[in-house]
Amino acid sequence: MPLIPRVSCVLCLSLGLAACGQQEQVASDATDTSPAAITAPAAPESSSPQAIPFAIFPSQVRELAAPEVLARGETIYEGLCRACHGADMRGGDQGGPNLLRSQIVLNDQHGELIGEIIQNGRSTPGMPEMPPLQVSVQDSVAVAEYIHSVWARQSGQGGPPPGETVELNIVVGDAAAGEIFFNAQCSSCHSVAGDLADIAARIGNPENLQNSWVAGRRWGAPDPNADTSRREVRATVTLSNGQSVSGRLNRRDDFIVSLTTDAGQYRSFTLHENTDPRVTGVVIADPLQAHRDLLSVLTNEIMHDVTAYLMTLE
Amino acid sequence: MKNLLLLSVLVGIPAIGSAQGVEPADLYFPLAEEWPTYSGDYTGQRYSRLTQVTKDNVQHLTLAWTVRMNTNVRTQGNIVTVQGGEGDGNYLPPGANLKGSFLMVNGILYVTSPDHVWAMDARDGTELWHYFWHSRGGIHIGNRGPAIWNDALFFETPDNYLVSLDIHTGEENWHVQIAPLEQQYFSTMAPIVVDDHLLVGTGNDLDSPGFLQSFDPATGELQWKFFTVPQNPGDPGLDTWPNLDAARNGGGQVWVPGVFDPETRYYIFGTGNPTPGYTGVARPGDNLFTCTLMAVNVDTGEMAWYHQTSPHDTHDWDSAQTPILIDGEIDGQPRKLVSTAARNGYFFTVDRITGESVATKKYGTKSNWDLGVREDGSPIPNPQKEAIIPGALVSPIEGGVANWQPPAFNPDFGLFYTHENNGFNIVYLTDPDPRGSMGLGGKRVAIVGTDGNAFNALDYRTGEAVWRHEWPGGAPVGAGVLTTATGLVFTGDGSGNLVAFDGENGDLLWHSRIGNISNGPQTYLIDGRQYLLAAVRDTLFAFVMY
Repeated sequence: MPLIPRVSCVLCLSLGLAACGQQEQVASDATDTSPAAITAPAAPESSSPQAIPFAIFPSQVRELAAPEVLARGETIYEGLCRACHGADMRGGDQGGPNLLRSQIVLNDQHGELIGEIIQNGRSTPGMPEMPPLQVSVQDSVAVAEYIHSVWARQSGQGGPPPGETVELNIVVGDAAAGEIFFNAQCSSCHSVAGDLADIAARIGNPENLQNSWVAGRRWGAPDPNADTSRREVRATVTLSNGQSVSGRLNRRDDFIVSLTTDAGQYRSFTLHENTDPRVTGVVIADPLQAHRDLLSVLTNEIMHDVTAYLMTLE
Repeated sequence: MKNLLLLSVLVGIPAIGSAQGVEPADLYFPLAEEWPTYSGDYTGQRYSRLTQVTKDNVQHLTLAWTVRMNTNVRTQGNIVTVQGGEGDGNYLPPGANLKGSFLMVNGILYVTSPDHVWAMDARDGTELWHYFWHSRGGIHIGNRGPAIWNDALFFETPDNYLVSLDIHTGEENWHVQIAPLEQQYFSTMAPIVVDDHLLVGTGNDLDSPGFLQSFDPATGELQWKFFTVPQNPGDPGLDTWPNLDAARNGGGQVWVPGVFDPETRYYIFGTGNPTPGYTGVARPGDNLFTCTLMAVNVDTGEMAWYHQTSPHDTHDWDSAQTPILIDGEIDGQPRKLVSTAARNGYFFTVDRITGESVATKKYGTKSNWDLGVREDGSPIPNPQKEAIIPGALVSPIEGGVANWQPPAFNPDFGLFYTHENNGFNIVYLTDPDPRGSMGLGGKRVAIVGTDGNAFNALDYRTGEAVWRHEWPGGAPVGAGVLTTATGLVFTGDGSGNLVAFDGENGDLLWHSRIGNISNGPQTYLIDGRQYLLAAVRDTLFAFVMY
């Protein structure tokens, strides 16, 4: 019987999100870093071939045992295994190892490896000793199937299954210190009574707010009323005949600069060539340059202070 | 066989027996007419002795051919796809993704992409055969290229098989499993042939141990397996982990080809990051031998020396980058050296006989994660720059200042060429569990900008930039580097151009806007003409000097 991938779209996107430990440079300048090129597979009902997901491992396409088997396995796990291996199977107070990254668990199909250890125990040099447990073969298989069902929910890139949501407070800075920094470094472009009025309420979450103010572009839901012209990158090209042409920068590399004038005309200019007239100068005005310059200057502490200050703007 | 006869008629290549592959002894020669191994030769320098293309005529390079790779599995026609694999046929062939080094031998080009291999006429790009591997899965991020030993071609698959093909027909000789897919290994490395050894690495994100293996290229039989992290009580490096369980799950994958020093018989390579990647709380210590430049005797599989380039990494900054062998001079003394530009933004030169540090220098000019350099030449990580709940502002980003894309070295100038990507991200700890997270989990990352991406020519003796070219387009660059005996340097610029520099001073001499280069440019000579080959995602471009 063909494997039917059971991978949800969410899982695939998260797997694709940062590719893997072999993560490479991507020219990503977007708040959403999920690569457009990676398509999540639909769960097919037929066995016709489908596009291979970017990442797919056996544990993600495993057929899970029947609900009653999993329930039985969970009950036994809670009673006999949890103390050593932890409620989340990532290792417990009594020194049992993380089961979710265990080679035995990963290699096991339907309890043939896990069950053997439950039945006979395990002694490995340098590791805590596991005693044999008084469990029937059937029940040890149920435990194995339950472990597999938990692992099947793994996050991308080897991450553990999502646990309970923990509220983490990222607003730890000194708002007063942040205000001093803001007034010195930011207030020439931004105003807490103007463009940043109610910014904390508008962006909503402090992490998005911190990302947004450091990067100079909005995280989270886009603001339909945003004035995008404020971030427009402008270019002025001066020519050997004395003319100069200004407009919105389209593209620049070592060889070409192109812009769109305020009249809507597309212009491009060759650099490094004996053209007539010749480009004698290119001046780029990027409103976000001040944000880029900050990147090398900001300490974690100042960053947290400014975030704490901006969080007061509700 | 039917294929081959057809091909012989169509393109006039000689039938089996007359065209020879690569004898292992051929790999000891410096890079010139052919490109028979990942880096062109064993030094990793990517310094071609070809001299037809010069600073004076590089602007006359002409496009000889371009081919978008055909990934269709064909069952009739001129080319019938040879099919193999352990998968059950439920996956369609993935599109081509050319992120490796391709081999050119006897006028034939051998090209790989995950699950695909092609042979092509290097003169005009005509496809000669196509092999497709039916996959069981694995991460399909890239394939770094094939290897050739006599008449056999080898490549790795994302689902961890080492496959041997007949270079004339694409018919399979054998395949062996090199790592279990169940443990979430996936394989991308270009195998490296050294005599009767075939060196093979793998990748993994799930807290599994890294290893380098050597196989018999004739049979696929395992010769030795070297783990990069301690596996048993008493193993070297165990004292840099809190316990054996942490070490055994410590990562250190071997996923980029290394270099080979025939004099010492050392295979020298870099290892990947420790795991769990971003939550170092449960693995205090240096975590040897992750993020380490090391030498392993190719005949025994035993480690000769190591130099750790990123102790206790907590940012997924593998130090797997291909190093470069340099016969240089330090303080007036001739020295056998090896240099590497690591993903963490540090450049290292060490003695390749002993591993002793010669130079450590930060080349990532915005890298902000360290507290300086130890006496032994290893950088000191700043704990403030690990993932923390309120966010740490860190440069570089996960992709690093450099990545797998190969650097180059020009011995005429003593310059080591590498890209320098200066992205910034805020790294939030989302799983503060004292046991650490798993894999690359437990964090959330926001890329908040990039500040001055550049290309560097570093003095191998010091790591100081002799010249540095900042890209005005501002995008990070994911291209490798090639240099030549005529003083040229070829690479991509992140703005869609294949560019040529004057390697001595950084003057730009030529460009062609064919798209962002997805591998390292390569060069070869056929029928008296020098070609320049570069890949853009799924398409090859071959330029020629007439």
